[in-house]
Amino acid sequence: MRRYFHVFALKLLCVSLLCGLAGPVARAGDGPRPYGAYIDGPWGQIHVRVAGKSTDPTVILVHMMVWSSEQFHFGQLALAQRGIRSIAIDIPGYGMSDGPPTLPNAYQYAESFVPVLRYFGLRSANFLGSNTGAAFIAAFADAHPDMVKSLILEGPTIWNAKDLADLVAGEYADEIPDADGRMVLNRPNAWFAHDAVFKFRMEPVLKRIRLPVMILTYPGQLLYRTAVRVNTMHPRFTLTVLDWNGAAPCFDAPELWADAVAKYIKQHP
Amino acid sequence: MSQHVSFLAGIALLSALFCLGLDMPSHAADAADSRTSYRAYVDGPWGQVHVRVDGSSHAPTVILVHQMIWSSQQFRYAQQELSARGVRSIAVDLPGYGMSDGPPAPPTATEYAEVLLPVMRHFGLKATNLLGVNEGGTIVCAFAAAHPAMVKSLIIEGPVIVDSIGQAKYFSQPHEYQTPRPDGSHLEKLWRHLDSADTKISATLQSPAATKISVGGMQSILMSIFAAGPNGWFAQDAAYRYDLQDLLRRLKMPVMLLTYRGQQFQQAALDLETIRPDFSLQNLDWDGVAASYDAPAEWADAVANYLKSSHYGTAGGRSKTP
Repeated sequence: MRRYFHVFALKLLCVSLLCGLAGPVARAGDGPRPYGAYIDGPWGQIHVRVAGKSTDPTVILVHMMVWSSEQFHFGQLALAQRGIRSIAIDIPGYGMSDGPPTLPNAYQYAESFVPVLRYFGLRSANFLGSNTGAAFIAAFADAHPDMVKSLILEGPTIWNAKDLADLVAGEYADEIPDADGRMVLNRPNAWFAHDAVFKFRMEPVLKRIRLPVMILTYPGQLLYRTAVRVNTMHPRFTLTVLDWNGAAPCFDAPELWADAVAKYIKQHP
Repeated sequence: MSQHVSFLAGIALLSALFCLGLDMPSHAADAADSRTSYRAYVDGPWGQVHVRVDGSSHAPTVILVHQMIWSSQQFRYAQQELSARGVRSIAVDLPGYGMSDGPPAPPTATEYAEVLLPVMRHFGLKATNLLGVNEGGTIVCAFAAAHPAMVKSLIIEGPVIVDSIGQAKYFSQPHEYQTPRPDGSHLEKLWRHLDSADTKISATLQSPAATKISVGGMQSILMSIFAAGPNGWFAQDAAYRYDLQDLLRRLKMPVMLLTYRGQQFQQAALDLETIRPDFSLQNLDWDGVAASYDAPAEWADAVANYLKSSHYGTAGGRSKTP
C-alpha cells in the first residue's frame, strides 16, 4: 500500500512539476494571437500588450508621449513574425494603466518595469523606448543594469537649453474636454511623463551605461539630429538609420522598423 | 520511509496547488480578491473580454453591459457609486468594443450574450444580477432567455423595442465609419453629430425632453466609437434584429425597468406596463441621455435599492415620479 502511495506521490510530483514549469509559460501565452494583461504596479495596475511566443527573445517596448502601447499595435505583429516576443507597456497614467497621484521622476516611472519583468519571469530583457520611453528605459538601465540585456533608444531625449525651455513652456495645458470638442484626451495629468523627461538628464546616464545600445532613428524623427550626434559621442553604440520620413515607423512602417529591431535583438537573445 | 513518502506527497500537493494557481488566472483568485477596484481580462469566445470591477467580492454583484457605441467606460462613475452603496459591479466591454477582442463576423444578440458565461465563470458566479443599457439591455435579456437559472434579476435601462418604421429607418442607414481624414475633420464631424442629439431612430420613441450628454460623456463615446473601428455597428445591428418585446412577455425572473425623461427608449419602458405590470419601474428625474455617466449617484441609488431589496421588485416598487 505504502509502495503504491509512493508511486502515486512520485507521479503527482512529476505531473505537478511539469505543470508548474508550464504554468507561467502558458499564462504568458503561446498562442499566435496578441493579448493584453494587467500587472500590479506601484500606483495600481499596469496594462501591457503581448505578442509573440514566450520562448522567443523578448523586448520590452515603451511608448512616446502622449500615446500608449497602441503605438506598437502593428510593430508588435511584425516583430512576432520575425521571432521576437514583445511586451508593450502602457506607462502609468497612459493607455489603460493607472496613474501616479503626484508627479514622478523618470527613475520612479522606470520602477514600474520591475513588476512587469517579474510577472513574465524575466531576470533581464531587451528594452526599446521611443522618445519619452527612451528616457525611461535609460533611467531603468542606470538603476538596474543587471536587468537589461540591451537598449534600443529610438530618439534620445537630449535638448539644448533653449529647445528645452520652449518645450517646457508648451507642454502644460490641461487637456480637459472642451464643449466644442477640441481636445480628445481626458487625462489632465497627461503632461506628467513629459515633465519627468524634461527634468531627466540623459547624457550623464549614457556615459555611465556599459550595456549594448542601439540608436534607432530616421530622418522624420523629431530627435533625428540628436540621435546622430549622440552616436558620434558614443561610438561604441550601434547606429541604425531607417529610410523613413515619417514620425512613427513602428506604426506607419512596421515592417521596416521590425526588421531593424529584430536584427538587433537577435544579437542579444 | 513513511516520512520520505509523506514529504514527497506534501511537495507534490504543494506543487499541484501552485500549478493550479498559475493556470487559474481567474475565478478563484478573483473571488477572494482583496482589491476593490481593478480591471481584468477574461478569455472569451472571440479572444479576450475586458472587464472593470468595483466593489467588495463579498457584496451583491451586478454585471453591467453598456449601450452602443460605448464601452464599460459608460459606468466609470456609476461603478464607484455602486461600490459606495455596497454593490459590486463588473462592467463588461462587449466583444469588439472598449478593450475586448471582437468577433470576425456579425453575431446575433444571443451569440453576444454567451460572452457573459466565461465572465461569470471567471468570478465564480453561478447566478447573478444583470443590468444592460439599450443594446446592452437586449443582450442581458438574450442571456436570461438562454440561461434563466443563471440570472437572479434583470435591470433593463431602455428596452430597445423598435417599431417597424424605426427598424426600417435604422437598417436603411449606411454603416458609417468615421474614417480618419488628414485634416482631422472626422473628429469634429462626429462631435457635432453627438452634440446634435439627433440620434433618435423612431419618431414614435422620441422622448419630448431636449436630450443632452455632458462634454465628458461625448468625449468618452467619441473615443469608444473610434476604438470600435469599422465593425462598430455589429452589436447595434444585433439588437435591432432581436425581437425583445416577444421575449419580455415570457421572462420569469424579477425585472426592473430603469428609465428617465432623456432616455432614448423611455416610452417603450412605460408602455411595457400593459403587458408586464409585474415588472418594477423606476423613473428617474433626469433629462440627460446617460444617467449612469452624468447622474451616477441618482442612478446608483435606484440600482442599489433594487438589488438590495429582499424580494426584487417590492422595495423598488413602481415609481412613476416624473
